[in-house]
Amino acid sequence: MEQAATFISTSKGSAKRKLYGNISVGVSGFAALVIVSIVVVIITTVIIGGYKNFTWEFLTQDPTEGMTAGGIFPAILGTVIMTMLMSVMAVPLGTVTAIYLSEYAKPDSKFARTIRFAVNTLASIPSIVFGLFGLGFFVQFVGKGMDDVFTPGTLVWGQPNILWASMTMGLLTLPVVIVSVEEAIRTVPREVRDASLALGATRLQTIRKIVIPGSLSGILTGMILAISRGAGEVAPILFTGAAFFLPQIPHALTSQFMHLGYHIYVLSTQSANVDKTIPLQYTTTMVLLLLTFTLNISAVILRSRLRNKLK
Amino acid sequence: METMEIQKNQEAGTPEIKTVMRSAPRSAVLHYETKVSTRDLNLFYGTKQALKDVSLDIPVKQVTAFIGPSGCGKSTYLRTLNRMNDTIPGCTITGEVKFDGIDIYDPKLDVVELRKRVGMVFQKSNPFPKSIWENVAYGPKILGEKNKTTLNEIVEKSLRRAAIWEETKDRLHHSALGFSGGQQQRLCIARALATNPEVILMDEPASALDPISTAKIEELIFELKKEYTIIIVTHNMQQAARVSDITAFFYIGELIEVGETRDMFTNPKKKQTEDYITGRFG
Amino acid sequence: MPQMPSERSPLTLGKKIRFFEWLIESGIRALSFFSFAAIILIFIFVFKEASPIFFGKSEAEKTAAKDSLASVINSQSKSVPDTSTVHEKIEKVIKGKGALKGTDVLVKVDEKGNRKKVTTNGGKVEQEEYDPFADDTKPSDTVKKAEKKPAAIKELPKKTPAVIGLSAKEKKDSIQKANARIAQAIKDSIERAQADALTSAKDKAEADSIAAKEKRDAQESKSGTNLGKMLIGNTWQPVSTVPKFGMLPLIIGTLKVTLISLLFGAPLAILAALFTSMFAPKWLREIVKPVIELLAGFPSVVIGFFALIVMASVFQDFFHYEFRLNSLVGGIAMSFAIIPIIYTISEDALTAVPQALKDASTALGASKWQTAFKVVLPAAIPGVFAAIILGFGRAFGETMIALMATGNAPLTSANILEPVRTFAATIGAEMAEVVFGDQHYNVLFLIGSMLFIFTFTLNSVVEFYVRKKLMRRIQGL
Ligand SMILES: Nc1ncnc2c1ncn2[C@@H]1O[C@H](COP(=O)(O)OP(=O)(O)OP(=O)(O)O)[C@@H](O)[C@H]1O
Ligand SMILES: [Mg+2]
Repeated sequence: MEQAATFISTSKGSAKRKLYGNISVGVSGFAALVIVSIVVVIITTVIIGGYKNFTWEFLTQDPTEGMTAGGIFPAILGTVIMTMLMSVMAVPLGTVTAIYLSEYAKPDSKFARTIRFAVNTLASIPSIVFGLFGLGFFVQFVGKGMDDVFTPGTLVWGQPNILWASMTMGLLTLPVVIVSVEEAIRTVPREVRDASLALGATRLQTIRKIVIPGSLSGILTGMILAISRGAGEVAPILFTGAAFFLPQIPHALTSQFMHLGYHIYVLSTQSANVDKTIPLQYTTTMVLLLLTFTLNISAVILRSRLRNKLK
Repeated sequence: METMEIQKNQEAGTPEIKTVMRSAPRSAVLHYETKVSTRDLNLFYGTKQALKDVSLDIPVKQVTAFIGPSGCGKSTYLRTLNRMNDTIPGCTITGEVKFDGIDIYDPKLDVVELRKRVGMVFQKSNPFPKSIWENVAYGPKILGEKNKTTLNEIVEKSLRRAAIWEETKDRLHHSALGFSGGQQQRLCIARALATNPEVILMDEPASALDPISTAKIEELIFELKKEYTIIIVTHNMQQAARVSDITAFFYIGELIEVGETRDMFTNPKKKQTEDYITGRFG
Repeated sequence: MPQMPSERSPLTLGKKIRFFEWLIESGIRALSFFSFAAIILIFIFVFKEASPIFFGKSEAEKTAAKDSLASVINSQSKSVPDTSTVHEKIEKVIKGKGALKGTDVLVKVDEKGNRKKVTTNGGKVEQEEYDPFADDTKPSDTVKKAEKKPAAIKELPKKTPAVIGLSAKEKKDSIQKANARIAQAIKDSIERAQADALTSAKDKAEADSIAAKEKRDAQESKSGTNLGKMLIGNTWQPVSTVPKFGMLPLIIGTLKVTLISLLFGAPLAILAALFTSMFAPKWLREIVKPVIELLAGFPSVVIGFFALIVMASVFQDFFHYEFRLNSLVGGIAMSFAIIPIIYTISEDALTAVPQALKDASTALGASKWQTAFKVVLPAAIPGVFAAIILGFGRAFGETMIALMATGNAPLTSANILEPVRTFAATIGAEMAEVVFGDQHYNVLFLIGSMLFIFTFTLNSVVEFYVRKKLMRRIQGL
């Protein structure tokens, strides 16, 4: 025992040493194997449980028979509309912040450090707190305020809706956008920037004509990652706009909307007939996984291309 | 030494280089009109001093060559002249740099206006990831030129002057990144010429070029001298001797010696200069 | 052609005014400040809604409560015992106490005898949106409240206090606003609802006395002396005749789930990080790394679903314990969410250890595993520590997995095989049903503020302490 612990073992301990080596490789390899199998098991279970219902009709039809049959079209549509609205808010704002951080801010300035810290904090706040914020700020403060001003006495904006949900989600995905756009901007070589400046271009002209075109793929990656995150998060929209079933698809910013993730949650925990809808739950989960995977994988590919460009 | 160069140039098919040598002015430095002057310039990267008390006058419409061992601050000095060091975090500068008598580090100076007048060719070629045409037209567009035919003219003229027209005329709309390093460097020269600056800073413009292109660039420099003030950094003593009127020798951040090229190369005043020129160190 | 140099005006001092550039650059600067502003806003608004607990209610909040009452009436529950999901229901009823009441809002029975419950969101949805089955069920299917409520009370005695509690609370609220016309209407309907629900005179009397008692309680709680007692107690029963907001069960539940997830996830993730950064051949690393990172892309609702539908049953069949959903299932499901976080950060920290250090160790004759455990791991400890802290923060605030896989009963037991309820899950489960602006609502926001402050602190620790230490360690070595 003692010997094995010493840094350089003697030849006597070499058998022991080999054993320890094998054990450590074995144990750590086993840990990796466990994690990989978790991923594989989840994916296969969801596919096995869900592929039978995975039909064109399922994707394009409304739910019927009190959500125990039919498709999930409104949930898919709701998710798409919500993530689009969310991107409209998060992508420009995130891009602008990333541009500021990488192009304007001096790396060690207080301002830049504050913003960086804020971005990290934003990324670590639990998503349910975003939900509370959405309720307290967008619904209760902004929405109610708007109602008091424009339509006193009636509730128009002062209740959960797709706009408030999207904005809440936009806030949640903001750091995702900022980080990936900043990473992309950094792949635009300094020399190219210098060349533009030396030609008498202003900083803004350089950003507009050199930096942004050069980091488009990063902006796209950020957008994709944000969408994937927004499609998968449920907690922030629990009380800012998601609904279990709606007779119509969202037709205005003040409508509530159905959401894939929320649909899974409600079907599997809230509906009276959990067992009957289990196949639907599996397939809905499969659709959600498929959606986020496609998005994530395309982001990974885009990103690795970007990183190769950097090398 | 001179014969050797002429031989080389004849091989490359550019006998004009001879003229460069012959026409080099023989008057003393003091007799030139000054375009850019620096006084007691000190530059620090963080706490590391990269330039120490550099005082130097750059004559108008002449070619000034900077020579010196690697890391002695030639590029750094060059970048102080168009304030490109501004973009380096932690870089501080003291002293005075005057362009046409205007202090370019005056807070009231518009640095963009300065850079429009001071073109730069970087040590490492840095074309934009755009087409050849876009690269050359970038500067004029920034200056407000919108007319397509004018832009086409500028692009052609600049590419011709930079001796790269023949190679690029059929591929004007191809990405610049698809060209060789030497071609890219000439493209960068063309890009710098397209804005018609008053001073052109060239940081080892020929380091990645073959002898023919080098000769063409040298020819171009001689041509440009009629209109522009040119500063060129080079590690090639022969090149400095061939193209420049004035030579400045830097050593570890200090300006050791400056004088007419002919005098510097035939009769250096300082021991370090002599050692460097004759290749004993560096 | 651009002017020749000689034709151009000479360089002069004086900045050119570029108004649009200035405008846009100011815009960029201002907008980039948004992230910081967002943090402040989040703090202010989450805390603002929690503040009445400390400072009493403001006028605005009273109005908010009034506004939302109308919709609460819509959500008068018609609780029907639900036997279709036996496991779920048993767990919820057993030891579920009042808090579980929250989820069932609308229950209907259609012609096939299938009962459906629907949770509405925030209790503020309009009637037609409330009625999800309007399309496929006939009006006659709708079961009248008066018929069903007593049944619910009989069959599910544990739920009764909740029903009464809700009504009483609303009554209290409506009494407070009796002079307002809207409130009057609301009150009427509440009383109607109560009349339906509380068929026995005894119940009615009880409700009245409770309402009076509640009023006293509410007044007392404002004095602040009750505040500490109220929040530290060991019963979480927000929806009952006398709401109890003792957070002890929630603290215990959250810690149980978080610690289980860390104990299970952190060693796995760190060992796997060691494996891919030190031992694995390149081809294997190229497979393992992306697969683990793929786990980070799993929406938490998918993990929650997997735990709820598959894992919980498998575990129960295997270990034969009483409650299908419990802190063990929840904790392990939670670890799936934190494994990729801990793995990625640890891996970064491990690969950031300078190659020279590894070489030096190998040169001294140390084997690969000795280098890994005695040189690389110690050098990367701050990074691994940061990874664990961030994983902890994530598990602490994770909602959907906790909501779906822990059983959601606010118990104070140490047994990991009993259901628990975490802070985040409490907000997720109960916020949709609370009366806006009442004490329960404020307490949920208080929990939100706590989550915020907690993760903020963890993040600051990582940012200022661990990162600095990591840098120093790598540079110093
Ligand atoms: N951005 C920078 N930050 C810190 N130090 C720098 C920076 N750029 C240059 N230096 C340092 O300043 C000194 C002068 O560098 P400079 O690039 O001016 O040398 P040079 O004479 O151009 O060399 P070369 O002939 O190799 O191009 C060198 O010691 C270099 O390490
Ligand atoms: Mg240099």
